[in-house]
Amino acid sequence: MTCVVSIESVCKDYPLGKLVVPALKSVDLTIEAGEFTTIAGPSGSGKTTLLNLIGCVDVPTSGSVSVVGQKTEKLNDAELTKLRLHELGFIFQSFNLIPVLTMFQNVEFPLLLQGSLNTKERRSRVEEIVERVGLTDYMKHRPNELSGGQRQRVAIARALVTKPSIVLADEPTANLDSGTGQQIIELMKEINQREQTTFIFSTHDHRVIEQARRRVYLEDGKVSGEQNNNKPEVRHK
Amino acid sequence: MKLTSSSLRMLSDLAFRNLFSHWQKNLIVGSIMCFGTILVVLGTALLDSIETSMSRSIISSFGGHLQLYAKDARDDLALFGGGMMGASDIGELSRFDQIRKRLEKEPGIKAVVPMGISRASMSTGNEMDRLLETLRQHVKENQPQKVEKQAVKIRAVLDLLANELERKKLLSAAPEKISAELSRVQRAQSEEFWEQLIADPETHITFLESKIAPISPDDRLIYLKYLGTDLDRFAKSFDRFEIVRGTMVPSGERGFLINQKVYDKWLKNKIARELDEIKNEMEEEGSTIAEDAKLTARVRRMSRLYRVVTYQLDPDDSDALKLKLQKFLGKEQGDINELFQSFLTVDDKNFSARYGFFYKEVAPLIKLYRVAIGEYLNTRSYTKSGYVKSVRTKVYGTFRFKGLEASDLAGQTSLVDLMTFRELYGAISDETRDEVKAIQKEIGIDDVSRSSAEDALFGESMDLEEVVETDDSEVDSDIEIKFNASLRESNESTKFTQDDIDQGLALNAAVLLENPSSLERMLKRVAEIEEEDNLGVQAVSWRKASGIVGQFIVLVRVVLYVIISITFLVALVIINNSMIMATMERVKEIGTIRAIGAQRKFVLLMFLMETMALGIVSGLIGAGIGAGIIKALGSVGLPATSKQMVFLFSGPRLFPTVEPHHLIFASVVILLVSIISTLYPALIATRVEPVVAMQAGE
Repeated sequence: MTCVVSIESVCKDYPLGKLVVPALKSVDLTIEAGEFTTIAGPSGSGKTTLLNLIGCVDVPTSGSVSVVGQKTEKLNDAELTKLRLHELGFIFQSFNLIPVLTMFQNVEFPLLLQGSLNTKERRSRVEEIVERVGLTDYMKHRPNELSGGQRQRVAIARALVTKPSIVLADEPTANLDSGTGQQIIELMKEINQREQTTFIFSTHDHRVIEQARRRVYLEDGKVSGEQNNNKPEVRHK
Repeated sequence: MKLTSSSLRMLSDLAFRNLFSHWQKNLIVGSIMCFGTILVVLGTALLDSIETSMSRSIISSFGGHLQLYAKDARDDLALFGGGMMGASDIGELSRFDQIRKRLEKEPGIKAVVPMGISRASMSTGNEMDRLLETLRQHVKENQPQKVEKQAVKIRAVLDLLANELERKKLLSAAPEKISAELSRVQRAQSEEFWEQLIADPETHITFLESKIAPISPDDRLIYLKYLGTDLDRFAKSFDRFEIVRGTMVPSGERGFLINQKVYDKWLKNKIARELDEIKNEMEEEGSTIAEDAKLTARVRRMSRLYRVVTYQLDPDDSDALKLKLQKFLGKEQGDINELFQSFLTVDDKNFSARYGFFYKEVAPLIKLYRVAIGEYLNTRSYTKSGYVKSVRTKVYGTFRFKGLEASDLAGQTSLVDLMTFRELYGAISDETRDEVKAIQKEIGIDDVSRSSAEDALFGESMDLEEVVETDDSEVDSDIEIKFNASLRESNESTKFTQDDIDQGLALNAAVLLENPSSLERMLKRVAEIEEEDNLGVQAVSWRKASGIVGQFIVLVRVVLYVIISITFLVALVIINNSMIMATMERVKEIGTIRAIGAQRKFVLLMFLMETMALGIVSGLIGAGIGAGIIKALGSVGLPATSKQMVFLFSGPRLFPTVEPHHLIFASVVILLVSIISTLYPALIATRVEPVVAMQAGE
């Protein structure tokens, strides 16, 4: 198995007025391709910060974050953006669709940014992925004409359309009712199994955590434990 | 990120959709841009139309395309007067014939017309002048009996004048001046004077004309602005010129052509003029005598002027008119003065009938114009060295510039032949110089240089300041009178040739081009020719030559651009602010786009596209509305509401046109404004970190 994310003694501090608040305190973590990993922990434990670092939207204060073999702290903004565009897919807690675009256009958006496919190729790619998330009938709908679960499916489609190495999801079920949330998790799992896409998502919902094969627990900015369904639970001291 | 056509299409799609989703904000911003565009289209199209029409006015009246004047001129040429009062010194073109010959050889130049603009005071015959004119006629025709009879009449008027001056002296603040006048009148009253007059009529009649007639009341001194030119060439070159009354001055003859406007405004009988103006105001402005206070006052004032007409009437005519007035007014009695005064007290109902009666019955009995066509005009002017020069010239007719009848600017300048102009200007011809020498000999001054000839002639102990301070009628020199008397004879008899015209001096010259668009090129060409041949001439465009009038349009343009700039500055601030607000509202969206993988420049482009789309849409609407308004104005015509505007509009109405370049200019401006106003908000947008996309909350 290849290692897609490698985090070595990463610290991340946030300035808060004159204070410096440490969000992550020396975290080490590796994630291999095809894993379905949840990062769990109470709010304020540093889940989102960790996800931001993996997602290349933030860089560590110290330590090293490697995403698909690239050390993010050595990249500039344009290179990080390029890395996000080609290697990462994002699913947001509040869906973050572009309100003025139709569902189809929202999904197509990253492909347009990549600019490598022609219109026809794009169309078939979008249709394929939309069918996978079961929204073929809603192509022309605007985000505000869709339900929360449908919106999150659109977001999943958008995250997957570029065939990224890693899909990051920050509390993907937090704004959904439990039934819908369950469906979304099922969908993600299904795709993970079929496509071998690496999924990393943060959550503090126990029912969701239980779905994940690998669980990384964060507490006070440190990895407090890890459980792998295939391996026995490990508790860090 | 590659900018493919599809991503561009998506960008513009995004932009338009964003426009609609924030339509309230964009409606306001769009309206401002739309208004700005309308303003730009209207302003530039109107100004260009005015400029075109004004250039027509100037070029086709007497400006020509280019104006030439002396290279060493101290002041700039200003055909319509400069910003400052007083004559400007534009030097002189002493070698006009060379300049003309050289330039008319140049392809593209149609004509070179010599000119000179100056002013002269014009004494326009009062009662005394008319009496003297008749006297002169009788002397000429050698009819001693009639001369005798006329002399009696004149002496009676002189007695009255002397009495009046005695009275005036008691009341006057400056009795010395009146004493001087009185002594002159007394001289003319003496038996001795009249005996001498029989022996030497010319000198003595000239004395009466120049020294006594101006003292007589109601001789209003009129300042006449005139343009001396080669009249034949002028008429041929300026197609707006047309004779209204009388005839053109015959080739080779001296003569005045009075501007119809000046003729009507200054030389027409005051009652007739008042009636004309009241009629004009009633018809043009729709005012009524009853309601318009100004008009009411005007009628009251006019009715008090009845003497202007009644004093002119012959006793027989007066009686006949009395009867007619009694019948017309339905009155049994009253003398002519009372009757005419009540006749002049017009109201809205009877005005047109009385106006008709005046012109049918009264006008033929009086001298409707102070100078009739065919009569002579005495003009007096300061020569360039400051001395008074008097010339008598026949008035051949009146003229106007077609389409510019109502304009004061085109209507203030009369025309005179170049020879008379030179005379008044003080250029001395060879012939005159001989004459000067003869007179010098006669009065015992010898060997005077040309430059001081005039001093010797008119000045002696007098210098310019004295002339300015004292009334010029004080100049009481036998030499001057003698000289003028001799000049008058030579003036009337001397014909001149084309060579005479060409070979003398001119102050400036109009150049007419075959093709007006070659103006800039020809300006350069003239400068080159000057470089080669050293003719001592410089050329300026009609715009520069027209002085303050030409600058006016530049001023208006500046004002317009300032207004447009302010409008767009306001638009800029508003667009800028609302875009910053929009950016703030859309931080999460921007962050998401960035997180998904959009580069900063994509965000920048997205924002620019958005305002550019707004700019294009509102610009198109604005340009359409602006062009529509101009088109509508172009078919109806914009009326000139003032006399100055008639000149600017080159006629009573302006028919503006809109050209593609006005629309293009407006579009470019609006696009620039929209881009500039979005730069800062767009910059803020590019600073949005992708991490904000991760933050919770809608």
